[in-house]
This record gives sequence, structure tokens and C-alpha cells, in this order.
Amino acid sequence: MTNSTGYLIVAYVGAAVLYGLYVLWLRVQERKLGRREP
Amino acid sequence: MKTDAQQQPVGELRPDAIAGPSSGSRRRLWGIATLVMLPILLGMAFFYAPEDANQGAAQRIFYIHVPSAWIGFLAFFVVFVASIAFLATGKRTWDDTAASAAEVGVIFTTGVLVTGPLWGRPVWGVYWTWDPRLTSFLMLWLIYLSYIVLRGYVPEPIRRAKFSAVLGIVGFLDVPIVYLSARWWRSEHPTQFVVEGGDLPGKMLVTLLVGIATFTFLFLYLLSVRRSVARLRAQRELEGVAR
Repeated sequence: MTNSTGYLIVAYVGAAVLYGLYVLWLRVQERKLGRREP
Repeated sequence: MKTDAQQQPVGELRPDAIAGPSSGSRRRLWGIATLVMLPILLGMAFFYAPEDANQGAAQRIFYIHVPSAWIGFLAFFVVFVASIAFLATGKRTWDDTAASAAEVGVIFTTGVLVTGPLWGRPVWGVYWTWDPRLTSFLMLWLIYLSYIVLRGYVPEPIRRAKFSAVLGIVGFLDVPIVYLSARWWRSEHPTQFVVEGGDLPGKMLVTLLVGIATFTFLFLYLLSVRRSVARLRAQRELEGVAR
């Protein structure tokens, strides 16, 4: 079996990026839609 | 016999969901719970759970891979229930809930498809194999991805809601197939960790349960924010029609 520490780190960082970017995207959407036009 | 919603003219949904504001305090609670649980999960996954003798460090991917999969299934179950509720009542809140849960479910299942190959490469020697469990899971992901695409291509709200409700119900049939695939066909994928007499050591099991709790809070938070976005979009749609 290969040394798997690198795969472990990439998996956790990848998951953090995926969920983190989705939260950010949702919050930006919410802020944009919540801002009323004059 | 037709329901109230079916008797309404095309393009009209019962706008009950637009009336109420989202529950900010509950959403804050899910967000805080996620932020508190995440470092606990990381600490347990890296330092508390013992290293697997056969799989080495890669086995620790399991503590985010399995919760992502289970929460993906939960999200698609919410789509299934909300889709039935929409077809029965015609209330917009159910369509918003189904659409939100589908999107969040696709995010969680994408997490599974990212972390799974990173476990497979060091343990199986390949990133991907057309194993029954993996193939049926990929199909599940594609079904709900097509659900999102479908919603984007049907501009008329009530047709969009009805078409996607049907897909949300039919698509859920793949969830038990994914779960049972490892039993029905010869699968390389590990299975039966907790139920049916799974032999997961105590510390690993506790860490897995903490992972599931953490991802459940994250799911509730994401669903809450996504529903808020859906409500705001509905308001903008109505304002656009009124102008």
C-alpha cells in the first residue's frame, strides 16, 4: 500500500473547499437578492 | 379529483412560503453547532480514532466520506417527501424545500465523489472502478444534477415545480439501490459499518457518529440558507410580475 497521508490531506482540504465555497456562494446570493432595488 | 393547486391557472403557485421570514435564530443555532462540532470532528478523526492496520492514514477519509453520503441520502429523502407534499397541496413552500434539498444533496454527494477516489487510490490502487456501489451512486448524483438542470430550463413556475417533483420522487428510487447494491451484486466497496452487526471498533464508531452529527448540523444550516435564497427569488419573481 502506498503512503496515503497525502491523499488524506487532499480529501479533507477538498471537502473544506467544496462546502466552504458553497456556503460563501449562498450567502452572496442571499445578500444580492435581499438588497432591494431603489 | 383535482387538487386546489391543479385547478389554478398555469403560472400560479400558492405563495404561502413567501409570507413568513426565515427562522434566523434556528439557522444561527445550526451554524454555531457546525462551527463547534467541526474542530471536534477533526481532532477525533486525526488524533482520537486509531489508525487502521490495513488501510493506514487513508482510512481516516471515512469520517467525512460516510457522513457526506448519509446526509446526501437524507437530503434526497427530503426532496422525495417535499415533492409528494407539493403534488398533494400545490404549496410553493414544498417546491422551495425540494429544490433547496436537491441542491444541498448534490453538494454532499459531490463531497462523496471527491473523497471516495482519494480513498480508493491508496487502498484499491485505482481512483475509480465501475463497481455496482460506485456506479449506482454516480447515477444518483447525475439524476439530481439533472433535477437542477431541469429547473433551470423550465421558466414557467408551476410546470417547473410539477416536472421537478416527479423527477424528485422517481429519482429517490435509486437511493435504496445504492444502499443494497453491495449486497445484490459483488461489490468491492466496504459496507455494514454500524448496522447489521458491523465490527467497527468503538473509537472509530464514536468518531463516525460525531461526523454524522456534524454533517447533520451543516445540512440543516445549508438547507436553511438555501431556502431563504429560494424565498427571496420568489419575492423578486412576484415583484417582476407586478411591475
